[in-house]
Amino acid sequence: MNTNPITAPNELCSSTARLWKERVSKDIANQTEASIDLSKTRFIDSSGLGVLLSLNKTLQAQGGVLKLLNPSSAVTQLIELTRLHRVFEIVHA
Amino acid sequence: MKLSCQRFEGLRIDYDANLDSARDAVIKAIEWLNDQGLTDEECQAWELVLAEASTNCVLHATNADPLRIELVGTENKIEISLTDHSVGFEWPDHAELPEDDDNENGRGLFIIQNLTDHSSYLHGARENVLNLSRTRTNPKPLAEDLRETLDLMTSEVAACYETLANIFRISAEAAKDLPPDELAAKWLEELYPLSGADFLILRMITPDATQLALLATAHANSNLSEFIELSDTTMVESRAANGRQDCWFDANTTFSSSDPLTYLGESVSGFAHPLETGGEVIGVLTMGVRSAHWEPKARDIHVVRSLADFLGTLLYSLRSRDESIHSRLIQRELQIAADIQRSLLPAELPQSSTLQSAGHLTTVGEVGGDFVDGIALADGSRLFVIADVMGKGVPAALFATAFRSLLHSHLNLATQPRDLMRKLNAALFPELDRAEMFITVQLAYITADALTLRTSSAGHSPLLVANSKTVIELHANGPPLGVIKDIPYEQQDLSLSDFTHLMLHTDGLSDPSLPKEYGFSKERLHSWLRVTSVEGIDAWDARDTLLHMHHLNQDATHTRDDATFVILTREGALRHKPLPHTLTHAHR
Repeated sequence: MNTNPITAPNELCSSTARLWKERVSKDIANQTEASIDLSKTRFIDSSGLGVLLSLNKTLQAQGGVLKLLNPSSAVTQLIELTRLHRVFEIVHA
Repeated sequence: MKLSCQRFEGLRIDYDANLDSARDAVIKAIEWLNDQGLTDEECQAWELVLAEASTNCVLHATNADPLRIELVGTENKIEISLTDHSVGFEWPDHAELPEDDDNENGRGLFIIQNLTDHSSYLHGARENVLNLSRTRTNPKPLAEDLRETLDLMTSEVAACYETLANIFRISAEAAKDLPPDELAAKWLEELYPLSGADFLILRMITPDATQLALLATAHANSNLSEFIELSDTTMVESRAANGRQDCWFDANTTFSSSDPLTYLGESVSGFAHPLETGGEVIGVLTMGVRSAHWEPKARDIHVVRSLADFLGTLLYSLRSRDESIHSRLIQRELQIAADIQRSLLPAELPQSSTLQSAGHLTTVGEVGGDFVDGIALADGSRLFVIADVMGKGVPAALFATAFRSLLHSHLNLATQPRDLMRKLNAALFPELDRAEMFITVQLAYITADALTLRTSSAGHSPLLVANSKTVIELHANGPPLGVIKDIPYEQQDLSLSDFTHLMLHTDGLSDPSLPKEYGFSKERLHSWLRVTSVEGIDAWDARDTLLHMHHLNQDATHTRDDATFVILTREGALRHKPLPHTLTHAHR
């Protein structure tokens, strides 16, 4: 089990999301728990949210759960606007 | 990566249709919004909105043309438009989130609508525009850069005023029915001071869409080429028309040696702007200066382009209107001519116990110059007339009317066709000569017992006389009416006792210019007439058969020509039966 948080990039958007997803997907393969550190993420858009949802689905299929750590207020607002706080487990340390 | 910026009522950003370029464009836009004094929260909201919108523009682009973001800031509001080149989609009134929370897509429009006050999506022929606006949290203080702001507003208002004033002026000129070239010349003179250019050249695409024709110029050389082939893309102007986008040129441009722009000076710069209406390129406006480089103000270019597009549409509609009016006039003229021609035809051809007659007149299109008549004279004799007025339309119809009137007023000469022909020529010559027209005529006088034929011709196809063994051509020929003043005509007498069938016809029936294998040849016509005589076919059946053959021949040779003929059959060759329609008339 890999419990070290995975750090999300400064911008998780359409131009960065695909490559980041490919890399993280390898990291969480066969994991039942993973957390994404969003503290450094200044900007996220719907493409970035899509990647987080995809990773969450992968973990759920493996019997696990995805945690989002320390999102900024702007990112939190977006997650709430899109009602994804009902999907993700958000942790503020 | 291409990223060009231009100040234009705010900021305009053109970016390549890929995600990296779109991201750079959004960052550039947010920098500008930050400079406008928007709060961090406002900038974050706009960043998200623009990221969603520009990503859509890139992902759904149908070509590699640059995409555009335009930002306008006012005291109270930010307005942003994004131009895309996609097939477009229906903009929802209220975008919803996906029903399934786990769905990875489908949130972009919801985000855009929730973070803006207003959003609308305009579909265009080649591009679509997403308009977004959001009220500013803190109104922009007017004192900040007040002078610059006022200057900009004054300039914009002046530009708008100039644009509108010119548009109204041009519209007024168009209403005065000015010819398009005069209208365009006036318009270019109006535009000249606004454009900042040294010269303006307007070319319109010809109706056959093969060339750019010079319509008007302002301060350009008068010896510019009249036409440019659209297919020749080495020319700057044709390249702009074909590429449907502005084509810039300057001292570094390599011109084709025959490019008209090279006649404007040793060193010219400017651009050719395609004029479009209804998604169709209709012309090109070229403007420039006589120097190595030109950097016109964006505002000036905008004004000129707007006016150019308007004028193009105006000229196009004028041309369409003129063509429509012209077409209606021609149609009306042909209708009048057809009415006249129909009024000249006898209701029936004369019949008697000794001579049966049947005829047909086919006109191609609305009206032709063919004329046919059959007149029963007081003593039981007959005069058959077939004529062909050179030309078509109203002039030909008017001469046919005059010809008929003269013919019927000189029937006292019917027994002597040569005298009648000479009289007709003398009476019609002055008018025909003035109009440079002529009429070919065949007169056939047949005695009451149908035993004697007397014929005279004025440049007309020979009259055919047939029996079961032979077909004779009668050439009592003279020049067509209207060619030689006061000339005597010949006439020829023939005993009909040995003949059964006679035929008068126009050259549309057997065109001697056509090769044997294609045309309804003279030989074939003779052969058919002889067989008709052998089989003793009456005038009406012969007429119907010949007409059928003529149609088949035209279908086979893909030709259409007037065809008029009269067939006469003498007693003994007939199978008597009542047939009311002795003269038929058809339009093809």
